[in-house]
Amino acid sequence: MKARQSRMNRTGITLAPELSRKMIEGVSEFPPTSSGDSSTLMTIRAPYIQAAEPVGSIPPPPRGGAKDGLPLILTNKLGERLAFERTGTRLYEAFLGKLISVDVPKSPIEPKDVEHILEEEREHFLMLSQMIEQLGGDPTAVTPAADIVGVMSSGLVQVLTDPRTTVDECLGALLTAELDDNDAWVLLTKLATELGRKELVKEFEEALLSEDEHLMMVRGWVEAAALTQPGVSAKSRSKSAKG
Amino acid sequence: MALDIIRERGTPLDRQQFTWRDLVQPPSSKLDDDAFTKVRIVLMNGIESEAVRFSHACARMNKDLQLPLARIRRSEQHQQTLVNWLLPSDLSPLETTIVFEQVAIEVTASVAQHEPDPYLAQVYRFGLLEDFDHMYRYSALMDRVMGKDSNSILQSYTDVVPGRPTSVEHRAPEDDLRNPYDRTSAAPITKLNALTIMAGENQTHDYYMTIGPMFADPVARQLYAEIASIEEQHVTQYESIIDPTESWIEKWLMHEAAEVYNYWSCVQTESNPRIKAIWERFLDYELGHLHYVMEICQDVAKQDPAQFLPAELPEPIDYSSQREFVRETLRNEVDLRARGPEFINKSEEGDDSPSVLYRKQMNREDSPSDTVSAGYLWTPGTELSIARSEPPIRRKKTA
Repeated sequence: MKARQSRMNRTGITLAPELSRKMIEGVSEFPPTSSGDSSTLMTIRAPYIQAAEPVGSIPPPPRGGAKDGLPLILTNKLGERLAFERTGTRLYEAFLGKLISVDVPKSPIEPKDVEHILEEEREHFLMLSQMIEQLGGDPTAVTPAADIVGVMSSGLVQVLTDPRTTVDECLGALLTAELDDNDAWVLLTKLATELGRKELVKEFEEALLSEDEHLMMVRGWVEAAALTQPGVSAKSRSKSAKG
Repeated sequence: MALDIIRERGTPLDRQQFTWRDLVQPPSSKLDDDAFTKVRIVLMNGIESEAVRFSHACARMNKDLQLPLARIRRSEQHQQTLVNWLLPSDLSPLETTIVFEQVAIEVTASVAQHEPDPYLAQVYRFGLLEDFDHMYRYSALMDRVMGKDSNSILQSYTDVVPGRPTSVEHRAPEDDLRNPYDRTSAAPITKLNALTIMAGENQTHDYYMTIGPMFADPVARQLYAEIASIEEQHVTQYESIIDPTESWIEKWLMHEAAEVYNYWSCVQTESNPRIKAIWERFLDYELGHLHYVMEICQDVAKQDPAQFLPAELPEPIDYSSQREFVRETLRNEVDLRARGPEFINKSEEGDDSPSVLYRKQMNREDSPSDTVSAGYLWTPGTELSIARSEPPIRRKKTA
């Protein structure tokens, strides 16, 4: 990642005031050709929403698998978490690769801490995989919730794997992932409690403990990355005041 | 600076080499590069795409040309990859669409002003007002679905207002065909213009057909379906202006000359030095291709290639804002329609004309382009920046 010197952001209108003035002026000369507002878009959307087929169905347990009345919502959510933890492992691999490829001076992020989170994400994936199998499910099947969380996290993968994003810029994506992950484990714990599945509750609570730790660490890195920037910390402010 | 394409031999084909890393260079910047850098990248991807498309068509009809076509095509394939991969990953498909339409507006406007044949200049102005309208509809989509301002991509060079409404651009096939230039008397710039715009429009069509289904929102899916249909009409229009009596070898030579002309035009105006070096390198590659095909013309077709080619390239494409020309065209020609190869005023279109009947059928359940932009006024920072006196979403039953 090269230093961003002698570059200029060109996205705002203030950069080219004369061109922008002409653009704004053109809007009044050439008015809209159809009437309405953004709510008009619902005339297209509503019939599709009403006639829509689902993203997909929840996979049934394989023939001969355990059939002890596991509610579909749990199958769906277990599939979602498995998918997210598997992608999460790859997110941290990408992050670790970036971290050790560049020299970030005085970074509070230790590669061993990232490796630790990465390993735990993978353990959660393996634990869920085993659990789904034991419950008579197929851990390779993509449930609708798993598919949707895949769409959601596709942006996170783009941010982490872009060579141009800095370590600090990637932290926001990791924080989004950890916040979602944390709440999802809380929900799984509540679901298993409601279902009276104590053996599942125990596993979920253990996972939640390590996820709490991940969230705390990533939050700390995000804060440190912002608060130690030049001109922000008390130290650097006093330096510049003296200078 | 003039370029003598007969004397300048460029890089010989056997010295045109790539590696995978070379193909995938650091991309341009969505935020920091000038909008016209992205315009050039998108157009040159279209030019290379046409080179590959033509080469395959030619190979399917000419056994004796298959090997030399395949040799040059390998280089074109990798040139296209390198150029297209200069687009950055944070430029979303919809943002890239905005660049495609900026190409269609600014480049077509430049071409229309440099075209010496008045009928063809009219053809370009006719197409221009339609692509100009697409920009407005896609900008409304971007604002209303993504909450983003298309001007962060356009950088104030190009207006976002209605052109000839997309909903009236739908025509019967017989009203999309135009009269071709005459290969024996047309000016070199006329041939280069036609190939350039046809290539750009064909790539635009293919791009919309690829990304349309990637959107979740049915509004976007419908809008891409509608505008892709117009882009198909545009390809029909622009390929019909090229003289169909040109031989395969003549067409091949003109394709190579058009590539030389386009890279040379990019070199004249590129503001990013790293990307300018790529345009220079590929200008030399295309000169190499041109001379390779000139030899084939001489040795295989037993024809003098110089008879088909201009000694010097005409004026380069003007990569700058063509706002005033576009507005003037809009004021004077927005109501033009087509009847066969000719242009008429909308008042002359009969209710039972093939295009009117076709349009009625396609728009029977409404036009997505009208719906997406209902009451839309482009505003810096999106229409959400306008102070409202009522809630942004009216809860009304739309069943």
